[in-house]
Amino acid sequence: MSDFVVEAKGVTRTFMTGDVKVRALRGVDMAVERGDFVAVAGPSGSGKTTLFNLLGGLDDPTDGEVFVNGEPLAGMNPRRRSRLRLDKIGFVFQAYNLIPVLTAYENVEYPLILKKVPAAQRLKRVQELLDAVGLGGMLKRRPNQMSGGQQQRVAIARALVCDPVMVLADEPTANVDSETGEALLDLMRKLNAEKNLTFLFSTHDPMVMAAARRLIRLKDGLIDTDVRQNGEGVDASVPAGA
Amino acid sequence: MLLKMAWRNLWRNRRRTLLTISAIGLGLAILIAMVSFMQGMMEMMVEQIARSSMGHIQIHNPEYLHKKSVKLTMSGGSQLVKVVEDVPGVAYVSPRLLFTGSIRSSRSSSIQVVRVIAVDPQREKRLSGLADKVVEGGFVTEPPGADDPETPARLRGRKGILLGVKLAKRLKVDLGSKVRLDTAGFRGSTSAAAFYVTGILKVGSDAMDNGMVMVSLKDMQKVTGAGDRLHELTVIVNDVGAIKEMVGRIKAAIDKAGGPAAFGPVDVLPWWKISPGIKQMLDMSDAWNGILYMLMLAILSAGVLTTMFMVVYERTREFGVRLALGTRPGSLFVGVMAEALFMALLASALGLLCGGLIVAYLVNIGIDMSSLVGGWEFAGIFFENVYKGSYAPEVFVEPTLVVFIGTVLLSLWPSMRVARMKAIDAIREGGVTG
Repeated sequence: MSDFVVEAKGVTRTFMTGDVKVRALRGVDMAVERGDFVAVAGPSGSGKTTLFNLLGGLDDPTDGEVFVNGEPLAGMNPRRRSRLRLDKIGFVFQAYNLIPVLTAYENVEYPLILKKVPAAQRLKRVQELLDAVGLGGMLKRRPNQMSGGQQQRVAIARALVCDPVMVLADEPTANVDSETGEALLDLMRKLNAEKNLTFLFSTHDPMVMAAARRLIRLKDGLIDTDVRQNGEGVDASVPAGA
Repeated sequence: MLLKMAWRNLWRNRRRTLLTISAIGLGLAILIAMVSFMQGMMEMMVEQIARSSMGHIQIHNPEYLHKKSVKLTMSGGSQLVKVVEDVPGVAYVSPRLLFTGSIRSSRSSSIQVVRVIAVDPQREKRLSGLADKVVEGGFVTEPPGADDPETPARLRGRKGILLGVKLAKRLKVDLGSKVRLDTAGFRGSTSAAAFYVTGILKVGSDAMDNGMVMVSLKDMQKVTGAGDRLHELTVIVNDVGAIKEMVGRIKAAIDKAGGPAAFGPVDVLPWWKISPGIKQMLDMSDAWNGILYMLMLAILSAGVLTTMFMVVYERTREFGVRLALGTRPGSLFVGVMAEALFMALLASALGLLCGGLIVAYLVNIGIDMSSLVGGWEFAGIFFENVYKGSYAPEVFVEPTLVVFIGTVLLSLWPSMRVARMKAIDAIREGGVTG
């Protein structure tokens, strides 16, 4: 098995906006090791979301290749790719994106139902995760009955429920206040440390960037800098593809 | 989980869902009421056709209907009646002799041309509703055993005649008055006899109130020398839906009993062959029902497509997220279809409830316009202006199926649109960018 949970090799992505060709990514090489805690930063339009979509198997590169857990995404049929997302990748979105008609419990349970996990196992797993994110007492609340921070905690629990190899979090602290953002970050750091779970964030938030062990800065569709940190400052630059 | 989500999603926009369900449900209720009304009108017309002189089926000499000649009869009348009466599914049979004649009274100088219908009173009473229209005296009597309690005692044992209220007025006759009836005869060129008015009827139709008299078959067979001959045998069957089949059965029974050798040439015809104009009018009612269904589908299309496409547009991001989480497109399709199914079920239930109440009113009370405009006549048949609905199962089943299946089928379009979504496009359209 590959040591990298996700790899991008020479990835480019071009969009047509009307008659104008927009090159969102211009040849990105990167690889993320198991258990890493990586922040991808850059200004709007730098290609963060495009890169996350490609790493999460939601989109296909115009050129280059993406591997998840060593498996190439190119040529994978939609059903297989859907299954791979369910089994290997946890998504946390900027706007929480919980299913509004489901309770906190049901939102976290949802991916397990898609995996056809038996009810008794689901109950145990969901309860455990909601306890872990500090929402054990809010099982029956619907998203509109929870704060932004609480919703994002539910989203994190949902991302973790299928034991993914990595969690892709698209600006997870963007819509919450700094105190809640810090609490969410602590939660993810704790899960990373305890479960050796790989986290990749896209972020504008200096607090998240500082907390990451690896900080990748994108600029105009290319990796501008890729450095390791210890939470205090820069340790070393990381060679492309490592 | 899919069904639970579909049910909850249905109530996310409670007002819109209620409005859509109400629009579809009330549309269905109106459709049910209209179909019930049309069906009731058709049933009423068929019933009135049957209860007029026409019946469901008629048996004649094959040439009689075209030539209307008195000589074109069927022989062995009493045996023919028995043969037809014994056919399973036949409810009533009425044998008739029919003449065009003239009638006059000593009280008036006017001579009126009338249609003379000679009937077996007991059989005719069971078959036609004319006995209920008698306003004075009783129905046609058959001497010497005339036992109609409505007939004045002094008239019993005499040849009675039943005539319309307008004709009675014109002839200046009332109960017990003597009239002279001249018709074509079988022995000579004409036959004439005196009759006594034993009953006066009021139908509401000019043709019947002014131009028809009814006498006893036995009397006329004697007076005209017709013997056991008949012009017409009118049949009512138990099952209106089986008239075609009954025509075949009756033909077979007549053939078995001797056919032309016993009765002369006979033709057995359903009522719509005798009066195709009425049949065409009833067929037009079917076309009208078709238009109603099309209108209903137009209401449905507007309601269902607007609602379901709003659902799709409002939840595009959510569908994208669910796809990103690993939901299969087929599950999204099933989810949206389940919502449509719930909507269809609720709308159908509402429509059936409201439609049922309207139909109950139409069936039990109906719309009575007879006091305003009286009755109406078409193709020689008099129809009353009282309209009642029908409780027939198809009144409820067909419109409900059209609405239910229509709702579900119309929802296929937005559902397929959801199933074809790509996660990335749906999330992007929903506004998640960076």
